[in-house]
Amino acid sequence: MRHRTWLFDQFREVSRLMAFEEVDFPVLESEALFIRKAGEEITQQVSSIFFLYLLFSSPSLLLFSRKSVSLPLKWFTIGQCWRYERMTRGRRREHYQWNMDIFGVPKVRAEAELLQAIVLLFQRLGITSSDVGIRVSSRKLGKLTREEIEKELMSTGLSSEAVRGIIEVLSLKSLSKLEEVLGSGVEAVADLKKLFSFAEQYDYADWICFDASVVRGLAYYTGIVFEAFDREGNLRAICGGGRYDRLLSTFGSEDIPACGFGFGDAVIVEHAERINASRLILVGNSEWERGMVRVKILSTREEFEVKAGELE
Amino acid sequence: MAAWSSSPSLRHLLFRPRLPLSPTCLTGSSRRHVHRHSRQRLFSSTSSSTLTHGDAASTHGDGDGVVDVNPPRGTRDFPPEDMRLRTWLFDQFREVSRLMAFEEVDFPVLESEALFIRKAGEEITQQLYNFEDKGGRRVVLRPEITPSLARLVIKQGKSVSLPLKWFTIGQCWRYERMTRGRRREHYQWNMDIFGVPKVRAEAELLQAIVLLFQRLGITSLDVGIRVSSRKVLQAVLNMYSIPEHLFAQVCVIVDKLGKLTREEIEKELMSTGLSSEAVRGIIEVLSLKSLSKLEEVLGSGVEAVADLKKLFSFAEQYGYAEWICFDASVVRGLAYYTGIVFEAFDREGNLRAICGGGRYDRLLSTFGSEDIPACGFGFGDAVIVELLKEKGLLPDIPRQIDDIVFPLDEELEGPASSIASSLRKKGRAVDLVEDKRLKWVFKHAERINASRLILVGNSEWERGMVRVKILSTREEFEVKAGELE
Repeated sequence: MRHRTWLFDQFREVSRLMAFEEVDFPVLESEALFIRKAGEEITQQVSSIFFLYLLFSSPSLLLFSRKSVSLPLKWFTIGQCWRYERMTRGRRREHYQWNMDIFGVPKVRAEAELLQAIVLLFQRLGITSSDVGIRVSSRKLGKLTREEIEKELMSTGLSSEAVRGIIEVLSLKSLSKLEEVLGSGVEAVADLKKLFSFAEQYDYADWICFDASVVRGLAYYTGIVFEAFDREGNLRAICGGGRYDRLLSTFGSEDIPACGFGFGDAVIVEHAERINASRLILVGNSEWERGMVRVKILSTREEFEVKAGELE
Repeated sequence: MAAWSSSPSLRHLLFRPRLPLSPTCLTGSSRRHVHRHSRQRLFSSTSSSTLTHGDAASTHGDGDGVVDVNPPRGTRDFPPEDMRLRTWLFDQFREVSRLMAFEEVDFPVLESEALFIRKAGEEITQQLYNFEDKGGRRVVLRPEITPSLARLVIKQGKSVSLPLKWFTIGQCWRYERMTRGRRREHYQWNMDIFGVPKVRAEAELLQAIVLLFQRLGITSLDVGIRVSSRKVLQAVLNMYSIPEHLFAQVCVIVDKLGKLTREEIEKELMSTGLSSEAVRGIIEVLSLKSLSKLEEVLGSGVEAVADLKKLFSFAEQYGYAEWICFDASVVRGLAYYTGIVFEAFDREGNLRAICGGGRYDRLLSTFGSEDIPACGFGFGDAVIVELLKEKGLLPDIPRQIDDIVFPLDEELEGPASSIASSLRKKGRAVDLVEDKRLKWVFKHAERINASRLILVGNSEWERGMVRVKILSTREEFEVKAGELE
């Protein structure tokens, strides 16, 4: 419990630094919220659904009379989510999830803010950009399959051999190559370039990378999508999110631009345990304010302070 | 015991699903039922409970196909203002728990129904929010926390180091016809002590409760705590040679003294097989409000009396004697209490019990384990808030932000990013605002109680500066961007 409280305190503190407000909703919801088409169960639900649900139900927010809703809204929550699955693989049926969502900001600024939150959280846990990365892409690229890219490249006159060579070497991880292929007028490219430019300004550019293979499993993302991953390639995604500008209309209301992420409590703990196996990195508020963290070497019991940015 | 026909259909109710961490991790398991949300009236048609008339308010008439924006019947959403209040209240619970040196624990809100099957006719076990999961297992959204706690203590095994002093703040559920507009869920702060057989434990718990009230600005003139002991009833039943196995039932019936008439109580007691003599004896003792009178009736050798006298003596020592009083009619409605029981009440008599608890030394054996002496209380989040409202003690908890960073031109969005970012790394809560008029920004600053407004403008930025405005004093000055703290 102490560990959970500590982790949730980190979530809350980052949310505070980002000026988000905390909200909560019942863990029990009407099933209708998750079933949209006849026979199709939307089990892959971002809990941002709840934000929308709350947006509707809060007495101070009338049902989309835009005048009375003061946008943008920046809300976070830490709640328990459930699923029912046959327990063959010893998987969990519940986890806690930290969600941050921004409503009413159509620009890439919103995604940039969310990525800063994620990076801040990692830094507070003593995790560095050499441990973890964040892959970024955009749904506007469409389901750009390898075949489609190949076709595009070939249409520019390259031989199929050359095309294959390009794709293999780059594995669609180069934004500039993508720009070459698609042209800079394409919205997806413009968005991503903007995001990377923000990343420089926010000073987290070394954490993120473009990777067209990121699509995320949720049907309603409409723009930028991202997920954090362990650079050692071991674990499932640590967190993930993206833009979903057209979700509210599926609930019968007017759309509001929205984006957010969900960050579960299980993978991060496994990850932190792994990299912290030999050392314990403690981040207390007073150290943090001075840009430092406290490192304890478990074998020798030495303890000292290190600049957060210089942790290795 | 809850009859199957009264349990809610699972079809309409679902736990919020989780975000899949990989695209392949969740499978669409086949659903037997198809729902078309646009015309579905939630909680009505196919549910086995008769929630019709009262439901009219819950669905929105406007917009054909708009999803129902209300949370499930009897539950609450917590938008930011309500969330701030809740956080404040829970922080009080946590702080008192910390002062009393208790450790925080937690358990799943979903438990096996078997944990709550007690055949004593308690209201709590007749209003279970229970259902069958997809594996055919009977599960329940917990109606109370103590059994989960007991389960965790048993799980720790023989190696557990007593005493244990644990607290938790968790949500509890009940399923009830919504005719009276009652809630189906509430949060409850629980404190429990395991392994202390003496009255010291109850004395500690009472101190926690009093400390909490004091922190909220409530005094002993506003609120009192009635104290008695199940052993009083036990002693009376012994006097009339009533069999042991009727004890729990008798307690549950007697607990309804405030809600049913005396005749109804007597009737229920008789129907358990008690003689009219015993029933009269019980009712008489229950009306006693003085410890000395009780001693007269039962004798001073009796444990009930000794325990209570000890508790009152502790109360003097702890300094909260004016908060508590003996009242033999307090038995509390849970089957498993075995000793001292208590409940806090509003002296003006308007509200239901604010919190309640007691000793339950024989709960663990009902779960097949060895008994460990235990006592604890549950303190809900609803009545206390009503009380605070009544007394005008509900705090005003505004939002609080350190800085607002506002670029005056779109081309300055980059610099605004780096300024906001570095301030956040220094521990300041920063709201980065864009695409708004300056007038809005000032209003916003007031709304969210920002300390400073940092304006990033072209002419200043060209000189490497930003404009800082201290909102409380209205001072304004320029600062070098790199030197901003």
